[in-house]
Amino acid sequence: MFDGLHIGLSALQTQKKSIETTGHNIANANNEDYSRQKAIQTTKQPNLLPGSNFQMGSGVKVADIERIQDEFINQQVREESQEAGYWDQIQQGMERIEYIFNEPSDSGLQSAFDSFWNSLQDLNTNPSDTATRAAVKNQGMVLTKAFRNINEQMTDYKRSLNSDVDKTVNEINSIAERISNYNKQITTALASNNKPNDLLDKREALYNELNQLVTVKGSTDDVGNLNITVDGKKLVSKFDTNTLKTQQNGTYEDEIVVDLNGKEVKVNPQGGGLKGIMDVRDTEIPTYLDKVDEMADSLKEQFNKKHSNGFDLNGNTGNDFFRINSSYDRASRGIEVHPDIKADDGINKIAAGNFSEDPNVVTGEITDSSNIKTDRYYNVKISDNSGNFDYEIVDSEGNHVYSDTNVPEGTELKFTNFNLTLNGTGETNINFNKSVGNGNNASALAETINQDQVLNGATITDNYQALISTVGVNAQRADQMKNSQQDLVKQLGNIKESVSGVSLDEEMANMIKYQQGYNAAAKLITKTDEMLQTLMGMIR
Amino acid sequence: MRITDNMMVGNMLENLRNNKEKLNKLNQQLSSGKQFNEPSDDPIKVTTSMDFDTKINNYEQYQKDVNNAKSFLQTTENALGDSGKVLQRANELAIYSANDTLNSEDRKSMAEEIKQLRNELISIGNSKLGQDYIFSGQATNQKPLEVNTTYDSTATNPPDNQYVNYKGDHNRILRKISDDDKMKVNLNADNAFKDNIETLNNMYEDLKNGESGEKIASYTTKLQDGMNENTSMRAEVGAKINRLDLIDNRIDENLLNTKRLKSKNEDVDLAKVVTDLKMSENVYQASLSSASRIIQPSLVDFLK
Repeated sequence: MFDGLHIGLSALQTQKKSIETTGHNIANANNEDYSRQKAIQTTKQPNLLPGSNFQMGSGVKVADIERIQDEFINQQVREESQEAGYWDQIQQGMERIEYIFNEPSDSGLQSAFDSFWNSLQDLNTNPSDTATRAAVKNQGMVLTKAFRNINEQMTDYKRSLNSDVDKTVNEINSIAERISNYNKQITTALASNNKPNDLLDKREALYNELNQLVTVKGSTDDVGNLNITVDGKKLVSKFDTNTLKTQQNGTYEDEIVVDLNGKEVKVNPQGGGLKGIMDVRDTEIPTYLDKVDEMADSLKEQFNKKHSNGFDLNGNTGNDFFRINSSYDRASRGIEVHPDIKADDGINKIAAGNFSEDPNVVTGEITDSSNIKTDRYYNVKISDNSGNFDYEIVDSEGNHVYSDTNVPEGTELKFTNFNLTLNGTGETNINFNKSVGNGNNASALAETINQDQVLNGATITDNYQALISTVGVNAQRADQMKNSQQDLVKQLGNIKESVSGVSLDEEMANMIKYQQGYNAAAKLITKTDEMLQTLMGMIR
Repeated sequence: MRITDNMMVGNMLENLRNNKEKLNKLNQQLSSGKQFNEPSDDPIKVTTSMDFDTKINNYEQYQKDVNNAKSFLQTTENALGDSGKVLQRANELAIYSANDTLNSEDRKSMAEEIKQLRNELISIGNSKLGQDYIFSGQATNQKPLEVNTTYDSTATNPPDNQYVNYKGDHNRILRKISDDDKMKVNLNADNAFKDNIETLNNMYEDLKNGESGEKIASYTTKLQDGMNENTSMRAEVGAKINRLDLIDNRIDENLLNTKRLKSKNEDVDLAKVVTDLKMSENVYQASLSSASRIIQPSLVDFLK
């Protein structure tokens, strides 16, 4: 008789627990980290009816509160999050780098090159004019400032990425710490046969967050610990964590180390946002800075070579126009207009003149200035002979002076008071007086900017355009990768939500179901009670 | 597939975000008129644009240089024109003096005029453009023709029998007028004026010394040679000016062409952008309307 009561009671308790589980689901409907739970109802241990050979059911109980989730999908989401985190950082970095270069615009490096070229062309027209010379100096300063600007902004950004690395490492450490705490709580609960579903949700949420920051490998052991390694080094091991530290390496970048058995070992993130930040800092920025340095070096070399071959308003050769201050580590930071040019009267030192009408063909230098005849000029004709030169020199009257065949490029001819260097094929005149209206060097100098192919087989400005193109292509790719990864993560997230998410309609229906069950169980108890009363009433 | 409320809301928000991003991009294009802002928007078009910018800059500079060269040549041409007139007048006087009925008064006034013509020719030779002497070779700060301090009218040999000395140099002034071209723009006074000046000076001395009309008339040979040479130099200068005009026109065409290509490369097709914008706005509004319906009644509302 009392079995009926027990059965009814078990039903009441079970339906109540089921409704509470439903209520828990409804309460957490908007909790992102929540996996819906289901109370699993199962029959209680049946009783053997004495004096018979069949079993009587004894009611229902909640066997388990199951956490509905698909571990495979979860792992996929985590893996794609690593990629998404990585490309997000790369995209942000490239966006900033594009912003620094600021092309196309009329205030970037390209525009500075153009204006400098303009000033040199003006110098060819007006070599002795003060204002024209001042413009060359000023545009030269604008150009070097543009180089330094790019370098400074990139370097500042690189330095700021160090603090981003630090911040991320701190976040990782904090998450690891909290995961290890949950490990303790979860293993304790599991040991006493409790299913700590909500704790599992929380630990998983942290683990997902960790995956966005850095690529890790995690595995759950038999007692319920989530053990995590990063780059093969232990990060979370049962209840303990290994704290990641940052330290500066030789080139002022923060690198990550961890203490492993008393020794400090370097940690190289294999993916995730942290790797993205470090790739921008250690690969992208240096690559582009190297290219800019290359251009600055080439500009200084080629320009100064021609400049020192020409003569200035004082009749002097051997002046430099650019200088790279070697106390800086990069040419693009150290490049400047030479202090001699910037000084008072420095603009007189700009070498607009050249003995040769075309320095690309032949250049000359005076070796004995006391005896040099400045009223003579020589016509030099150089032709190609399978890569070497044939040349002929005649004087202003047309008399033959000297000729030879099959000499290599760059051959230096030594005459009594001067030397001639053979630079390229063509025909030109050369004479050694130093008139102030000589602008032959100015046009040759202009050519170093955008006609002479002196760097990687192309002009300096060609190289710059190629660099901008590379930056653009890389930025575009980062953008596309970030977007496609985010789409992928979203899709996988939807699948995960489809498995683990709470549907209010479902929960409502379940609520009705359990409520009805509860009502029926209550009715059962009432009826059983009535039967008991009847039984009691029978005995007076 | 099992759909939860969060999924519906999440998807809806995602779509709204995407549509808004599209709208934003189109708005930017419309207001800036440009197809791209950053190299990542379209790397190839951006570098093409940079190339066009430099080309346009260079064409405009070369035009400036061509016009400067033209000024130089025009000043030269004018000077040659003036010197032609000087020689013409001297020639007339020479022919006139073949008439032996010149008296001493006539001779005195003719001598005076020839002297003035000689000085005029020297002055023409010392022409300037701005601050620079144009007939001094590359020594543009140096006056080309200076009266010889050791001049002696009785001397027979240089340097003392030379009335003027040429103090400039014999270098060519080369102006770069295109990537591949340089043009010589100058003549020097040594070639263009000195001989004629000495001729005039000798004529003047002979007149002063009372030489015969025949002797004076014999100067027409030298003077006519001088005039012919002057004319041919002037023609050469004129030809160069014409060539620069042609180059100027060509640069104009190139400029126009390049600007057109640059615009085609960069500028948005307004009709297309406005159409796309309208369409995007419609899509966005539709998605907003659909979003409002997602907040549907669920089973909760139907249970009492």
